[in-house]
Amino acid sequence: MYYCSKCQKEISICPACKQRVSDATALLFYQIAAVCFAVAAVFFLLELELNEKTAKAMQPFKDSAEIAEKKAKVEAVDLPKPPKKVAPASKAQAPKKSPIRGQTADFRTALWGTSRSRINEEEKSQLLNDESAYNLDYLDTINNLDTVVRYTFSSNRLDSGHYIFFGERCANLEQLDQTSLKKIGDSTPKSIQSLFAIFPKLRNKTPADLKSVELFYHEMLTSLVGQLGEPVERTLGEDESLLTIDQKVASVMVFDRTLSYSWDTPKSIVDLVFAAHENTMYLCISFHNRKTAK
Amino acid sequence: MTTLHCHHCKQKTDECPECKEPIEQKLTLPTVLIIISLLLTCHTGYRWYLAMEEHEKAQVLRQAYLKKHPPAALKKTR
Repeated sequence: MYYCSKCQKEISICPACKQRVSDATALLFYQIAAVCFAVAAVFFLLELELNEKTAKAMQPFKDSAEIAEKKAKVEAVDLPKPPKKVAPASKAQAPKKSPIRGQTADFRTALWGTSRSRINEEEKSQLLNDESAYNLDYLDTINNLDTVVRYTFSSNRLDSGHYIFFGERCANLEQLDQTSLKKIGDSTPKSIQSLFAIFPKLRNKTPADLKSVELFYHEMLTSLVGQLGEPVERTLGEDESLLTIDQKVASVMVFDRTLSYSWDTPKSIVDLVFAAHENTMYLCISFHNRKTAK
Repeated sequence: MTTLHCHHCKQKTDECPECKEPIEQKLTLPTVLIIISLLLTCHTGYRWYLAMEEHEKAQVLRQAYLKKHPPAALKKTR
């Protein structure tokens, strides 16, 4: 555009012939800009097309990644391994799918409310004790560790289930600087102490030093957090993140303390109790019927 | 100094017909537009280049995958 800076007027008419004149330079600039915009648009469309093609080419990998992710989830929730499932006689009798662990039941192969006699028939593990009216104890092996599988009944109906792991007396605790250790959690209750007396022989040799106890406790906790998310309740509350795993484990093992975590799921309440009695590890994962849980 | 060139009468004018001051040419807007469009072209071009590289990688992966897991239709032809 031509203009006069003094009289602030645009000059678009030739003063001699009074014909309209145009600014060729400005027009050229506009044309160049228009071409650039067009090129940019073409690049944009090409990019969209390429992205689509790439997504199509990667589809099998995405599918397999999704399948692998699902598989990993199922494997991650495989902690309490149920015995081989017997094919259900009819569809009506087939256990419902549990939302908790990807298993087909609430606790191992049983649903909450299953009768004691039926569990007795269906449980394939070695029977340890069936004398109590409230408990049925079996011996199973999970993660190469001897585990007490305890079914608890109320009015002869399955009310809760527990996986109990015992370690051996922790070695080399004397070498720890116990003065620097902080006492955390609660002291181990009598109910847990009595379990050590009930199952005197079920000691696993693997969790017999601080490192292996740490490893086992961390593995169990992360596995449950992976399946059920962050616990809704825990003994340490907000202090949990302030302490390292080795500090927690050392304190529990040295001072015979107890740490517990709780998760809430649609059908069950899940607890993890990590404790020690006479410097011996105790770890219990319990599943309680949500309807009857206190 | 800016000169107005008339394509009709072929005359050149370089001063305002009213005040006789030299005339000026305003090219700010087209210049800004050119800069913006050039930047936009560079940006989309670069993105296209990245997408092209990504696509080539995906193709290599896909070929390797298809070699390992040939689709049923291809299996029959082998």
